[in-house]
Amino acid sequence: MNVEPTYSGAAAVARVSGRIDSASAKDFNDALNAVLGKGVTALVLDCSGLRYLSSAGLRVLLIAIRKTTAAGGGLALSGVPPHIREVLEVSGFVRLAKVFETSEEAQASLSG
Amino acid sequence: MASKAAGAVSLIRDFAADVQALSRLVEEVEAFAGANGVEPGFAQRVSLAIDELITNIILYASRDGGPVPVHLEVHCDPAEVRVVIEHSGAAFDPFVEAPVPDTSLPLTERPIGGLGVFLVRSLMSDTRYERVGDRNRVILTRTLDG
Repeated sequence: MNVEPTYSGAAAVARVSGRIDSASAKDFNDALNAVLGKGVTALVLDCSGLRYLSSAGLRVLLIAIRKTTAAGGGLALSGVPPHIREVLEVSGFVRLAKVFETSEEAQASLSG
Repeated sequence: MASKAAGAVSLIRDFAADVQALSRLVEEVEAFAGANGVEPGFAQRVSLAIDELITNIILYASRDGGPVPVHLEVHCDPAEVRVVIEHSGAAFDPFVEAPVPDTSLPLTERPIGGLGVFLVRSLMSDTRYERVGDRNRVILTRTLDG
């Protein structure tokens, strides 16, 4: 699991790659907290390099969605591989965070 | 269960389950299924279901926080993947006793967690539980037709 953020004021795009499961969910949580700790309220997670996401990762995602939404911004996802998109749909997460093809579209949705 | 079609191949593991060992095993299952003709989407559904159920076993069945002995079987044939997960301990049927989450709740009302078993039911074609002596046995089936 790896998170590589690129900052632009209160907005950031973080490229998330690898596998997020019970063993790596804490690292994912720490990485997102580090990004949010820099004052980011509009966060795009570019998931094009994400290979695996279990419910342990969904927990972390839900917390980050709550934090960014409470701060007046939000969280959007881009480039989600089909098998991970299915997990987001089944779990109802597509209603909690918007999902876009590209990180540019995702960024635009948060800057409105 | 005599559903072993010609050409079925099996991966059988007895292991001390903790999250690190499980992480490695889940990748092994994915590779095993893929190497035996299971499409990546199905291989990952199966490995995710195994991950969620054994994660719950680690969280709830470990009395001292240490690894839990788990028996896993993955049987692949051209029509389906069948998974058997067994461990000893207090009787627990995850498909009856785990609460069903309301995935339509808005953000502020969504509880953190509780999605694992729900994902398993959603991603598998059939889920069953049996109590066998002092052991819990879960049998998952994923048909490979769509």
